[in-house]
Amino acid sequence: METLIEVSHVSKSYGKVQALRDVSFQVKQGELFGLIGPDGSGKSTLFRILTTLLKPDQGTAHVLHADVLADFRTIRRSVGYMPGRFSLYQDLTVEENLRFFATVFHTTVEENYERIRPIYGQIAPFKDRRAGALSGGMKQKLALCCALVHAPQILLLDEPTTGVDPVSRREFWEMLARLRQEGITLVVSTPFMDEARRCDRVAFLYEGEIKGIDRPETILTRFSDILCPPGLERKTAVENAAPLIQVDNLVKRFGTFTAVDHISFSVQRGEIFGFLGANGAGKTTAMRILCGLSLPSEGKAEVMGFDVRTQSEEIKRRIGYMSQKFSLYEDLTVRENLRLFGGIYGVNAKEITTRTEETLRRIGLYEEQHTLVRSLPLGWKQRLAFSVAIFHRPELVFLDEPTGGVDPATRRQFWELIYQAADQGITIFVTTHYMDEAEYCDRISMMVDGHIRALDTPDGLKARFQARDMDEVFQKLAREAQRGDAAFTHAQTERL
Amino acid sequence: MMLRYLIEKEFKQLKRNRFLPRLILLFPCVMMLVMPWAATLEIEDLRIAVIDHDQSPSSQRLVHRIEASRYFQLTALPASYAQGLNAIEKDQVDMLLEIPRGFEKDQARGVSPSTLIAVNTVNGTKGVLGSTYLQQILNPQPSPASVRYQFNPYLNYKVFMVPALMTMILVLLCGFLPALNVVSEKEAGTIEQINVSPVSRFTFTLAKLLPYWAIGFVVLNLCMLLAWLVYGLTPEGNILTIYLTTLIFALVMSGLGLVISNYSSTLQQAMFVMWFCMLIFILMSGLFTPISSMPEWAQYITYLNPLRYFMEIMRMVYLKGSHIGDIGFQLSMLSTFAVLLYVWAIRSYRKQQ
Repeated sequence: METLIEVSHVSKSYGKVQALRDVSFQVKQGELFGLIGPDGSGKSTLFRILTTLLKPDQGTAHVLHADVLADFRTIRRSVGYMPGRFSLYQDLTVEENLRFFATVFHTTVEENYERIRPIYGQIAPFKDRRAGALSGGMKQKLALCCALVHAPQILLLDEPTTGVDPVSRREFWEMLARLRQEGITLVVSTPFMDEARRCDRVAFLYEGEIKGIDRPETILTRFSDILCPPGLERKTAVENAAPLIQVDNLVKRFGTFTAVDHISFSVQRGEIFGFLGANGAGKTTAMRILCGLSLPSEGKAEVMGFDVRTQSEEIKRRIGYMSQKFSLYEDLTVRENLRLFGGIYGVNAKEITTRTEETLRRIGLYEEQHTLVRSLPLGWKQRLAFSVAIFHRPELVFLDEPTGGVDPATRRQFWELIYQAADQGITIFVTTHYMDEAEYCDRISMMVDGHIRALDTPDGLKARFQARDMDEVFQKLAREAQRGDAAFTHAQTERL
Repeated sequence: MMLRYLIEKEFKQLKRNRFLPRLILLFPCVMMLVMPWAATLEIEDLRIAVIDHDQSPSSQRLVHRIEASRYFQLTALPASYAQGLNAIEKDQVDMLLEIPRGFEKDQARGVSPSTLIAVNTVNGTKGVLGSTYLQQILNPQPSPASVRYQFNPYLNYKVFMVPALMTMILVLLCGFLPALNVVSEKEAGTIEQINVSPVSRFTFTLAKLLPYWAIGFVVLNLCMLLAWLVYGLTPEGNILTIYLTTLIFALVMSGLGLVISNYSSTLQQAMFVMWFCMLIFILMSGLFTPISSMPEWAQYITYLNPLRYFMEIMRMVYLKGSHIGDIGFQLSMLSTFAVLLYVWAIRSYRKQQ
């Protein structure tokens, strides 16, 4: 097989930070090549060098036998690239986005339609919808179509499935497998180990160096301490006193769309309550209502005995919240962020100082206390955001996809913090797309199309659905969905 | 208590910003040092061409008088009217003076000589003023009334412009910065973390306002210092009156900025709406064109323009030395605007959707 990508001794640094150090590898034609490694290990830098967006400091890189420095035009014409954050125009419709990218590459959608038909077919029913109004999984499919529209020989995908639910992820990887059969060479980075297993070969990148390139099984075993950390153990001590959250027939409508459709559940004090569901199932909406960020359309919800409709300010004083998108002040230092939010929640000045010291040591950011939050790696930011959320010692904390986009070891560290907080008696309400994390919860609710379809302990759910793991439970439940990404595929199959 | 932490945060963020603090200092300097010279409506150095058919000592004297005037610049002496008109069309001269044959003879006979003035009035003010100046040179008759210029005795246009420019600086800084600040918090998502906290709408709004209030105050002092150093202009009235009015005005502008930011979801949107408002405010404030010469309907609209009141107060206090009693109406209108916009800003800030 012909070698299509050849990287030899590439180094790149940004100021003092060495992003890549003497990186060499080759990708053969038709290969599905995976790049794995913690956040900040240099994966995106490598992609940007291969797509000729960034110049290497040292070493050479050839794509399709063309040098990335000398012959970048050839490369740009024949390589498809899907950057980590969707590069779609939110205000253009699905079809307009696709046509735009086709025009940019001097081609038309019609010319290469056969290539994208199996994927575009799934989103075609929504071709007049604004890209901004699509769910995560659909955006990702559209972005893939846009990257494929000029019939590239090589496709580079930088963490394409971050923030996407397991069902959509699986479908996405099925598409990648199909593309590979058609002879396209693929390089994909991913934080998900189940995805890494589907690659032909993976490279493990750590602190800018390639630590190993081999079959996925070999790499995952060799670096299991980082990539496959052992599970966490916890003694559950759930009190069966009055519930902390009580939800009765809660409804939230946006215009004609019912995001949350008559859900009822309760959360006990001291519990770790997992809130699962596909993209667009209504998890975030429900959580925002409970935090007092959004008003319910119907029904009743009480948090710590306060009504979300009328007493939201009382609730806000007593809860912590960590949003899906990192929302601390990036232009303040670690310490200043803790101080600010301590002050906002009325913690007194002396107490702020002692708690700050204690927190910084506990989350291992003591050395970084005067660093601007902007320059921290994502995993550290997430730890800090969690610590800010529990800094005022709330009884209850809401975490909305707190660990998106980081590697398994970092996620495990994060869950250790959650367990510590739970041991101190803080009730945890968490949404996640990682099914290994779902296993860490005491109880799980599964949302499908705005309804709660199942609510039980992880073991209870596995027994009921006769599943080996939570992933299987999720796949079985989410397949029923009438809306969301799974539903679109479903609708399309019926149409054919 | 909570407010202290929030304000501390605003100042830290401002300090970290590489660009803003410099802009806040640079902007008033440029406005105060450059604009009074550039933004002038005085008509000087009109290009004139004289067609002298008489070629007599009297007509020569007239040409010399025109040359000596600071309002005119003699650029050509064409032979015929047609040539002169051609020069106007090519934009080489602004006006023509045709001196007829027999000009000296007419003067000697005591008949007022008939000269022709042709002016390019694409810019109306310039043309009309130019021809008036020229007529004064032609018939230097003693004026029947004596004129005394009050408050700006040397008719210095800069004196008139400086207080207005101060107003404009305050409008831009106190109006734009808080609006853009709030919207950028929306875009970064940090506002969400604030919205789930017990920070009240009032505290949050106040924390956004106070730093810009302080900045407005510092900038005002900087402007007054420059006005004194460069133009020798000091306020005729009480400086405390100016301070008081400025504080109220800064409140009005930042209130407007906050209202706009509450309705905008992107920086682009906030910026555009803000700029739209500013342009109307500035053009209808009497900064460049007097309100009294606007059509009546437009004059009514200016009553809704907070800038109008502040501009009037600044000119009255700075140049005429008016007392606080003289500006009672303007001050109460400004205060009303301040209160209304603040209530609106707090009302329109939604912690819960």
